[in-house]
Amino acid sequence: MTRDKADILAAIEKIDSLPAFPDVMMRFQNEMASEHPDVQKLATIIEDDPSLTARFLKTVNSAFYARGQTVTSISQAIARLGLAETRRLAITTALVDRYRSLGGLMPQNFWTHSIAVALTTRAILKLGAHSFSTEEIELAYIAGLLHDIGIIVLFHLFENDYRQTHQNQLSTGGISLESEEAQFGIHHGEAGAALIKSWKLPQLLYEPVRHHHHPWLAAKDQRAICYLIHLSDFVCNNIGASRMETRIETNFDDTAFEMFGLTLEQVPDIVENVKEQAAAAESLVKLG
Amino acid sequence: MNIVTNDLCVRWLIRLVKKKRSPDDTHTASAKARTDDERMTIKITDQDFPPLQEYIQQQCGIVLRDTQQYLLESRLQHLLSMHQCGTFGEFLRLVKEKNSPVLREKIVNAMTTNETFWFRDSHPWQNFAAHLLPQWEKELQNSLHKKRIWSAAASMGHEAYSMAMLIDDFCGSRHKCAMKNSVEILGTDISTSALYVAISGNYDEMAMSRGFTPPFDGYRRTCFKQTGKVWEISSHIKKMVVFKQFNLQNSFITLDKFDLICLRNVIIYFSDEFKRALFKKIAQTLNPGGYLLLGASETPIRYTRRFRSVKLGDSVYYQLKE
Repeated sequence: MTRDKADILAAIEKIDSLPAFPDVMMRFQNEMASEHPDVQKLATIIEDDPSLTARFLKTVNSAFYARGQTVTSISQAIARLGLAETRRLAITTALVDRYRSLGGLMPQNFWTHSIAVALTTRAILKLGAHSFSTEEIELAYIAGLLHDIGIIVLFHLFENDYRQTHQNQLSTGGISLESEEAQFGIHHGEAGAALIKSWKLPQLLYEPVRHHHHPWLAAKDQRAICYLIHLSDFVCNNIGASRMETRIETNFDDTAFEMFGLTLEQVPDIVENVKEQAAAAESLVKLG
Repeated sequence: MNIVTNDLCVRWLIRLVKKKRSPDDTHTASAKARTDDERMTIKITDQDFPPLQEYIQQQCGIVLRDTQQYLLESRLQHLLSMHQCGTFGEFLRLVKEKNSPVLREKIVNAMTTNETFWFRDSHPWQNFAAHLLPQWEKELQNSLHKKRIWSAAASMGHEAYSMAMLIDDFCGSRHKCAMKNSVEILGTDISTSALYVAISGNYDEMAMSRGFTPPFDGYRRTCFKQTGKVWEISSHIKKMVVFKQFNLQNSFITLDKFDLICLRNVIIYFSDEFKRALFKKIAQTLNPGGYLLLGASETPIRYTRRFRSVKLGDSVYYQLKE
């Protein structure tokens, strides 16, 4: 079946049957952009949503984050985690809370993979060398969280066809953007970028989501983040933190390693580090 | 040599270059000015193909037939895009101007491809275990030197680890642990991505479904640990192999000498001139009496007289003449 790409993109931009993106990200961004971010205001952003508050506290008190006494309020959590970590965790928790039942055929795998990729972006930057600003590091984290969001869109719009494509990809042992394009007129990167456009998220997220499988096609000034997502995606798949039933075999463009000053001697460290990120992601998804 | 082609990207790009384009948009706009879709569909023109064909042959040793324009289009597309070149002619001019070894390696990397299996073709490995390892066992009893193996097109490590499994089995079944420490295996490839998989030792079910046929089927159980979706090669096998990045175009002098060099299903990509130079370097890198193992349809005979073919069981190995 051939579908027109423009029609599909238009349909995605008007989509209103998927949950809206949690506004916690933009609210945090606005408050943190102020000269003196107010911790109480930041706490309120989370506390405004009782479901998010419950999940957030559960996460902070989970084995992965727990240090010492049980945290009973968002203010306490912020004091323990710091502002940046609080924002990351709030966005992650809000997204999983709202979208936990969505994620193609395997939502739990989907979110474990997405969170693992997000966490891994930071791990790679720590292990390698980079010139990312704090903002870009945060942006990369969000792009990691959302890089496969197009899968949710394709599944939502074309469930039966998507099941077939998923099955084909399983039998060939890897994802194929070509098969997605043939089936849906667009691939999941494009679908994801269209969705986050409709959510009116920062424009800087479009390219990493759209081009995470082919970062060399991204606009030059956004290529580094695209390569970071591209590499994080690969290293997560390599240890089995993939969104499908099997570990997905992919390759990465060698430029990614050079770009972040990584060497092959570091591979064992990267593998161990990614395993830790994936374990954290899994525990976060399994909570509640 | 470089073995991994980025399958998903290539398949995708192949489809894209097959898309019909309007006749007047082939050469006009620069890559920067084009829309995303247009910049993914750069076609090679009849004028641009011959000089690029010649360059690939000279620099990479790879011979492209006149009908293989599509190979350049599909495999180099991402490099054109990265370097913001609107045509293949522009790309070639850039490559020549820059004269960058890194860019040259990327071209080699993109142009060569391979499939990997465990114990590929089966019989060379059965005979490796049945004939070569017992021979080495005897030789090692009277020598302080180690036996060194080079998997020169290691890709994701299948060949190097296959040999490690056989050596481990050979030593284990004979309680010859000393011999295990006397054999070194080096795996090299040009692709960082392939070597990442090799060094991680992590494989998926699809990879594990290729090559573990009898008599090798037991190694799936004894030499791997399955955790969820991942089959990880056991640490005792992993530590028998060292992987490094290496371009076969470079001098082999830094690699030291070997007793067995495996270069299977690779030379098919190279020109006669490159093959001659390659076999010369291989001969210089083998210890006296050392072996070269090629793919089933490959032979050094037309390019060098330094080797004689010998049969180990029913497999042909090429031994360096004394």
